[in-house]
Amino acid sequence: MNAKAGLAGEKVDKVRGGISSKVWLVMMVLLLLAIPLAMKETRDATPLLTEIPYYQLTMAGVFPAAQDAVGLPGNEVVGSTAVGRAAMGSAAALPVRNADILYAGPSYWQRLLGAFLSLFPDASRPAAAIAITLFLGVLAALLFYRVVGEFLSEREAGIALLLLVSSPVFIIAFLGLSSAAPALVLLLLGAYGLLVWWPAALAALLLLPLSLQLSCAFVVLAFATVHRHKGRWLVPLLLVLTIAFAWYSPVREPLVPWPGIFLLLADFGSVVGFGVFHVLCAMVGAVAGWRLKKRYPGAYLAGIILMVLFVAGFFSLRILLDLLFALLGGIGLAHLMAMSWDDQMVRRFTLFLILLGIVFSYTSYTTLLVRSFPDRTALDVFSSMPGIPALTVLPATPAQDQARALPLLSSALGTGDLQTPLQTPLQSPSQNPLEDSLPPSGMRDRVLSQERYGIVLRAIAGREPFIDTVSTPGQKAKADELFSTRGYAKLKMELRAAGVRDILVTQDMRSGLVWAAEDDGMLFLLGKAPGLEKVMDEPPYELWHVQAADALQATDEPFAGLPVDTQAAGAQGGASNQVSDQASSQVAGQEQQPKVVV
Amino acid sequence: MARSSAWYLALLFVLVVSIHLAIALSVPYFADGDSFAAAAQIGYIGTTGVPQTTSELVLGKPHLITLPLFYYLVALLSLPFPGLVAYKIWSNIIAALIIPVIYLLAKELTGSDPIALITAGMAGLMPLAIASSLTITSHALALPLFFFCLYGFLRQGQYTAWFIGGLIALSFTAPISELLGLTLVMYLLFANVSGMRIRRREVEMTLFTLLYLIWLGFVVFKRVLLFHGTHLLWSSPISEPVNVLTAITAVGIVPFMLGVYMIRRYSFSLEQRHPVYLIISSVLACVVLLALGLVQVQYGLLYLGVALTLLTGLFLQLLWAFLQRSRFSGHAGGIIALLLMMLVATSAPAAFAFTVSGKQQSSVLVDEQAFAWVRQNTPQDAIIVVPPSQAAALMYLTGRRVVLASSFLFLRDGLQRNEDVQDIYTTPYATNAVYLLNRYGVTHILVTQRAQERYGVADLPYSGNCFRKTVLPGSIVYESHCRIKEGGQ
Repeated sequence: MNAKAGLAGEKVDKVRGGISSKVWLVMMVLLLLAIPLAMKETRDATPLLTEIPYYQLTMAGVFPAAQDAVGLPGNEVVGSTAVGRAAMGSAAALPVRNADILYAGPSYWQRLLGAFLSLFPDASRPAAAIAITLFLGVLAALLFYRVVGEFLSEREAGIALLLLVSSPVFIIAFLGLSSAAPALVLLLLGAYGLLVWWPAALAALLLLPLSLQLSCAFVVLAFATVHRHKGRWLVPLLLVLTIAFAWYSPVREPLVPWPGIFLLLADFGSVVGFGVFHVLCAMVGAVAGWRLKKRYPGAYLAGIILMVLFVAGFFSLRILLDLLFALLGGIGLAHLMAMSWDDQMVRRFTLFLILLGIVFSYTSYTTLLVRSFPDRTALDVFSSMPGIPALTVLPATPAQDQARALPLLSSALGTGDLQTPLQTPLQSPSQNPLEDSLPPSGMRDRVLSQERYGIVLRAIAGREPFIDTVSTPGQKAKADELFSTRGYAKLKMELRAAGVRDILVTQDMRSGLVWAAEDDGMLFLLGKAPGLEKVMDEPPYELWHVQAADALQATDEPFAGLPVDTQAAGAQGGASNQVSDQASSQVAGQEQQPKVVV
Repeated sequence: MARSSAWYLALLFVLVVSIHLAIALSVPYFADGDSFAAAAQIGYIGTTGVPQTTSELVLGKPHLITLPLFYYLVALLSLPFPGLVAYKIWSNIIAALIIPVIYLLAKELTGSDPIALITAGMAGLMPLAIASSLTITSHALALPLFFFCLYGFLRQGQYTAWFIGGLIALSFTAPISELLGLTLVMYLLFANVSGMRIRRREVEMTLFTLLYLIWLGFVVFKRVLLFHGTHLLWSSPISEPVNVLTAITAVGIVPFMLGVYMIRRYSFSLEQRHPVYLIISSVLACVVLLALGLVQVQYGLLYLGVALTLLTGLFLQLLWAFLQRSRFSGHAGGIIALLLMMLVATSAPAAFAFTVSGKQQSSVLVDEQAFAWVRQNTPQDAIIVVPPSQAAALMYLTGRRVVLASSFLFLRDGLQRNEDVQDIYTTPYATNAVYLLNRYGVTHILVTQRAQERYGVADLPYSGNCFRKTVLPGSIVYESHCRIKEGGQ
């Protein structure tokens, strides 16, 4: 035992890793991580929380659709292996600004995971994957405890650990099978190694690039380096390198626009956000520990740079920010406990309130995870969803691709009338109707639905979604345009061009997620247009099939009862409906005019 | 407190309650629609013992967020004789609790019993407070609780428990507890800038208050924020433009002027007066909330008015002390009395005007003939279109369903419904109207005086076979019969 003063100023005898304390720590971490899993297993008979692990397992080859998921032609592909991971593993729900990013293939972590899981029977692979990350979670927690224990008191370190393992960012990093999980372990191993045992640091440094962007690693390693006073000037150097690396590296992180408070705070329903009480504790810690800035200048500088990078759009850094928040939160809470209060009643109430807030934050987040999509019904429905028609495997020629791309191009440029029959030689129907019905190569037989369903559609139904949460903004905009189309001829043309064979409609989509009213946008056509047939009705899910025979026709006359306007009415409901309604009501004498009957 | 002061205080309490009750009971109903919603909630709690969590009579049955303490209190007190009259009586008695609370605060501020009594009287008889007697609102309890919390904050020590209790009670009474948090933060900032010594206990209590309010905000209002997004805070339906002249009249011209003078005086003063800074901070916090539209104007002004009244009391005390030291010491009482007469002369007409206006609103709000017709001639499941401000009254008095009420926090299409209701009253096309009526399954449209004023129409611009018209004194009822069929079939 050695007596040591914590950052909060308290004198505490520090216990250096007794067996019993380690057992308690492991049990606490396991318990906090296992509670959401157990609840999800009980509720939906699956250990996978949210759609994020489905993505990871798909990319790892656990689900059969993995090969199709790599290098999606619908998404703009660049030769980057890191960017796709960063977009999904770190900020699945965040909008992506860059148009030139996304999938290129499985990451090293996903490949490693896939190789490891191949040792297990198919049915137990998801559980095995979860077991791995649980193990990694415990390891990360223990390493964190040891690292911060080097310069915090036992109480501060214990509180910091409690804050870390109960924080939403930490939980989703590990339970979401994210590449941030092994990266965090390696980072902490590196930090610990720099402090205590250099071979560990070396090993971690060598392995780090395989897991997470190097830019992240520099920041954490800076903390550890500074603590030992080994080259104080190394910190600014590393930070400059970090920024340079981030901006000029070909393995560029996706910069995302500021997502707003709702995606930054888990308490507002964000799966990837911070806990509000964790942030508050960190703020108290930052204030309480400010006097130590001269003792740890590099660490403070690194922390500030980390914040700046995060605000600048490097949202994948939030796993590191979470470490910082936990560290500061430990200092802050210990400070509140140790400081002398004038009013003991207020002290008791305040500490009780903070504890209550953290517990509330954790339970609220756990509930959010457990209730998140996909639930049992979704898994059952998706696994029994009608499959891909056999005829769709025919390849298309480049000329046909070009021809079929024209309507989309025209639409994008706003120069063409999409209802006009295609006149160019390239656009004439070929002799082979099956071949002609195909969209551009690689863009066929997709399922159009809201982006949140995409990943699970691919993983469970084995169908290619038109969009998912990691699709580019351009692709999502195309989907929005389709959803808002009320003109049947235009919709048919665009569905065909987009290679959409089925449309998955859910109750959530009907009630606000996509449409605001029953006759909004495309919803107006479902059940009325002859070329759209409901092939599955498992509440709250419906699958509408875009009939192939109908799609073969290059042009169609608008059928009675549906408006012929090609103007998108907008998926926002109200206002657009009124426009359409008024337009239809003001065109006197037309067949499409609604009739008032008494 | 001296025994005579206690008697005077009791007398003042009875006087204020009597005036409020005389005004409240002079009309059969209320001056605003929200009071009917409050009466419905009290009645529901009185019957079932639990608060109503959904608006059963609004189409779609949206969720309700209820901070229930005031409703429970009134329901409990009204148990022997439930009904609108009992609700009015107890609500006004509860509102009059502001008298002893302001007395305590003013005593703390001035150290003078007579000045404290005068200040308490001014707070109870403020024009806006008198006009509020025509309504039932949870702010009747929240207002005394808010100032009681300030008192507990100032006294500290043995009053800490009272402060914490008051804060918890306030947070479960009305969505105004953020005003307390803002007041305390502004107080610390103000005191720090002024170089005043900040007591450690004050920092501790402020920290606790802020943490509590944040925690409670996530517990109670998280659902609303998730439902609407943070833009709700800035584009809230509660934000209305503030007419400065009306606002000044509502809080009283003299208290406003003297209050502003006291703020100016102490802002540039080196006097170490914790209580004054706290009251000034509460004034500034009210102004901030009003300016940002985060509080309903009439309630924000109520808090602002009482805080300014406290500063007026302080002015009277300073004036008294000054006069005592001057050569006018012999006329000090007369000068103070003259000032009070000025106060009464400016406030009484305003109070009278607000009361008359409230009574007029009450008669317009409840169109008794139209409501009676609806009750007798429509089926129980009828869906009626009325202006949202009248919806709560219609629901309470007839038990019929409406498309939209004035509070639509949990209606995803609330704004759309609002536009649709307006369109139903104003569109020149019967097709459009029938389409909208079909969308909500509306059976009847009430063209009341309130609708005529609100939408600027004397009658519906469309008519024909689709509607059966019933003309009543002061209003018209339309019964809708038509359905839109697609495709001209």
